[in-house]
Formats: sequence, C-alpha cells, structure tokens
Amino acid sequence: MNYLLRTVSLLLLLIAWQIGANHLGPRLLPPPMSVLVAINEQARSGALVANLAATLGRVAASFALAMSFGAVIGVLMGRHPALDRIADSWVVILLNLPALVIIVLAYVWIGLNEVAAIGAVALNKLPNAIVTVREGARALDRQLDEVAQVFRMSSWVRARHVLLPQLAPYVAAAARSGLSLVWKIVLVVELMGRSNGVGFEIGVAFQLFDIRLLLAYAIPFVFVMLAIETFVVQPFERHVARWRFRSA
Amino acid sequence: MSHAGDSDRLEIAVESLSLPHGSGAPRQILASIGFSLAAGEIAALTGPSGCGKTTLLRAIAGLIHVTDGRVRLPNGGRLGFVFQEPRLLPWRDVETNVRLAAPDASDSDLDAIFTALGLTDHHCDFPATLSLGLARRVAIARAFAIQPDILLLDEPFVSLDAALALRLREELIALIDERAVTTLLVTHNVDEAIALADRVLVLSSRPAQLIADVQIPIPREARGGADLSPIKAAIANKAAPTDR
Repeated sequence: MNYLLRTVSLLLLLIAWQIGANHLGPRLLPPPMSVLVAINEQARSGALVANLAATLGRVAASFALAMSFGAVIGVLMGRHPALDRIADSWVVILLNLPALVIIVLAYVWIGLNEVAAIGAVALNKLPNAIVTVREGARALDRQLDEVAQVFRMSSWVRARHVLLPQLAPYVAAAARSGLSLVWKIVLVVELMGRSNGVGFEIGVAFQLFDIRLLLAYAIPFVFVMLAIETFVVQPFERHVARWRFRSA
Repeated sequence: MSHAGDSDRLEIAVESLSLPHGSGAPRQILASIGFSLAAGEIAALTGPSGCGKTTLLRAIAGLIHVTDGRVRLPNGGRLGFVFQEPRLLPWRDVETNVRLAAPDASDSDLDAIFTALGLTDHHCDFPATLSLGLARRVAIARAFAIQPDILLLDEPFVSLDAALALRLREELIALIDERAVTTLLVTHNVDEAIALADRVLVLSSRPAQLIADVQIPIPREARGGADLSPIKAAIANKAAPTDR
C-alpha cells in the first residue's frame, strides 16, 4: 500500500512537470522525456559519471574531515567545561557565519584549489558536528565512567565499549544532518571555483541558460545522495541503536 | 605510602574528608577513621543513613581522592567493586560485561562464578532484559571475575525482596568463603551486618567517626539458630550515645 502510494505520488509529480513544461515551453522547463535524453547523452559521453565522481569525492573528503574534527572537538568541549567556555563563542560565530562568506574567504586566502574547496565545506559543517557531539559528551554516564576506573579498563576498552556506544547516536545524528548540508554546499563551492563537478556543470548551464543540462545533472545527483542516505546512513543509524531494540 | 605491618591487609587511616556541596563551601563527610582488615576478613560497615558509608567505600576504591590521610590496599591491589546500582554496559551482553572488566579471567573460573550465582542461562542476555536481582548478580560476578584482593560491596541486597535477598546473601557468602576474599560490605541493616560479617564497624552520623568495632564471636554457620540479640544490643548501645 505504502509502495503504491509512493509510486502514485511520483507519477503525479511527473504529470505536473509535463503540464508545466507544456505551459512554460521547453526553454524554461524542458519536459521529462527531453531531460531523460539529456541525462543519457551526458552518461554516454562519460561526463556525467566523471562530474558525479568529482563531486562525491569532495562530499566524502569534507564530510570525513568535518565529522572527525567535529567529534574530537565536541567530546573535548563536552568533557571539559573550561575548554567549552573558551571555544563556545567561536563555535557560535562559525555556526552563524554564512556559508558563502567562508567559501569566498577560503578561495581568496588559500587560492582557487581543491584544498580551499574541501576546507571551506568542512568548515561549514564543523560547528554543527561539534554542537551535536558535545551534547552527547555532556550526557555521558558518569556512573559507567567510575566502573571503567574501578576495574582499571584500558583506554582502548573505555573508548570502544564505554564511550563510543554512548556517543554513537549523536554521531549518527550529526552524520545525517551533515551529509545533506555538505552536498548542498559542495555544489556552491564548485560553482564558484572549480572546473569540474556537478556544481560546475550547473554553473555552465546557468550561463548558457540551458535548463535541460541543469536538470540532467541535478536529478541524477539527488538520486545518488538519496541512495547514500537510504543505504548507508540509515542502516548505520539502526546499527548503532540496535542494543536498544533488544530490550523490548 | 607503605606502612609497617602485613602487606596483605587493607589499612585505612583517614583524618578528614570533605566533598563539594552545591555551590557553597565543601562539607566535611568523614572525620577521623582508622581501621584495618586482615586477609580474608569480612567486615560490615554500618551507620545512620547519609553518614558517609558510601563515601568511605568510594575513597577506598580511589573514586574520591583522600588528601588528608591514606588508604593502603592489600598486596596486588586488585579491587572488586559492587555498586549499589548494577552499572552494567547496556549495549553489551552479560558475558561481555564481565569479560571487559576481567580480560584475564579464565573460562573455567567464569563458569564457576556464573554457576555459583545462577547466571548460567544468561551469558547472552542484555542488561535491559534482566531483573534487578539478576543484574546485581552480574555486577557481583564482574567483581569476582577479576580475582579481587579486596571486595567492596555497597548495599548489595537493597531493594530486593526478602527471599531473594536471603538467597543472594547465601550465594555471596559461599563465593567469599571459597575464595577467601577480604571483604568490606556497606549496609544500613544491622541484622544483615551481623548475619554476614566477622566484624561490624559502626560509623556515627556526619562527619562520620568510627564509634564501634564489634567482633561477632559466633561462627557464621551457627548464627542461624543462635540468639544474636545481645550482639545487636551491644552495637546499638555503642552507636547510640555518640550518635549526635
């Protein structure tokens, strides 16, 4: 039933798109079939895969950077109130700094290169990851800490079996919100200062006023990100929360 | 740190211990307290509620740093602690909970402990599925699995129904006797203290001082039928006048 409703909803969207295309004309809104042909063309030339790969690489690198630094800083700030008081205002500033400002500054200061691009995206996501993981570190169970201390558990056992399972739901939440933020910002970074990737192609399409090309990149990209969300992020979230369900 | 005397004794000589209290000045919990336990001795620590029994136990375990005084653990210094709450890792099963605390424990020793505590069917259970009684048993198993030189128990029978508490008491005593572990048991229940221990230490109300140190002259096996009321009276007597 659910499945059926979803299919109906998608079909309705396609029909609305077709009607809109008929109204606005193919220049403003090319019909679905024409976009499908364009996707096929881009795929055959290899450009689609190459650009998708470039973008996904940037998403992965900046996501990994932001998550690992964010987790470490978040844990430190959550565990040490003095550090939290010092760094908190920096995090708040970073949290409220527009993505565009960080991107422009990164390109100006570091140059129009990959380091600046990935660094700017990671920096945009970083405060978000810090704040979420910090919440988790603040909620750590002191009683279990004492168990680890009394039984002289090694730091590895403590990290792996006492700390990480408590932090995992927060890391998963940060990862989920982080991924959707990162891939949107990556497109902007590519549009402004890279010469390949989905964002770059969308920029080209904008300059040529080629909506067909724009959609031919945007739609496959959204599908890829949805697939990652469904088949990677969500299973990970379920995996880290699995012990909760055994208690039912 | 070291002190003349048997190296396998637990020695405690605290002059004073204060803990932070809210945002105000630290509050003195313990006054001068000194005693020692011989190897294999079982002592119960009792006193009015809130007097600092748990604080003393935590100080011995090193969870509270003693600046004014000293604590000397028996040789080896391996410490088995049973907290008032079971404090198991909810995301690990029963056996993993025990093994993480005692990575060196042999399979046969774990089996023996699990059997003695009636846990043989629960190796793979997760803590959330256990009753309080079972979770306590796992916490006790964890403390024994490390082969402790000193066992510290904080109210191990509290909030269990009488029958369950009695059974757990017997299982615990059997394990302690079999392994000849030096044991310090915190309890607010004088009857429990007399039934289990060789010696009962009574603390005054806060700041706690040691106001009585009573040997139980009757062997544990014979206590079931014996009249324990004189001992109980003696403890109450010593506790009352100084109980400010």
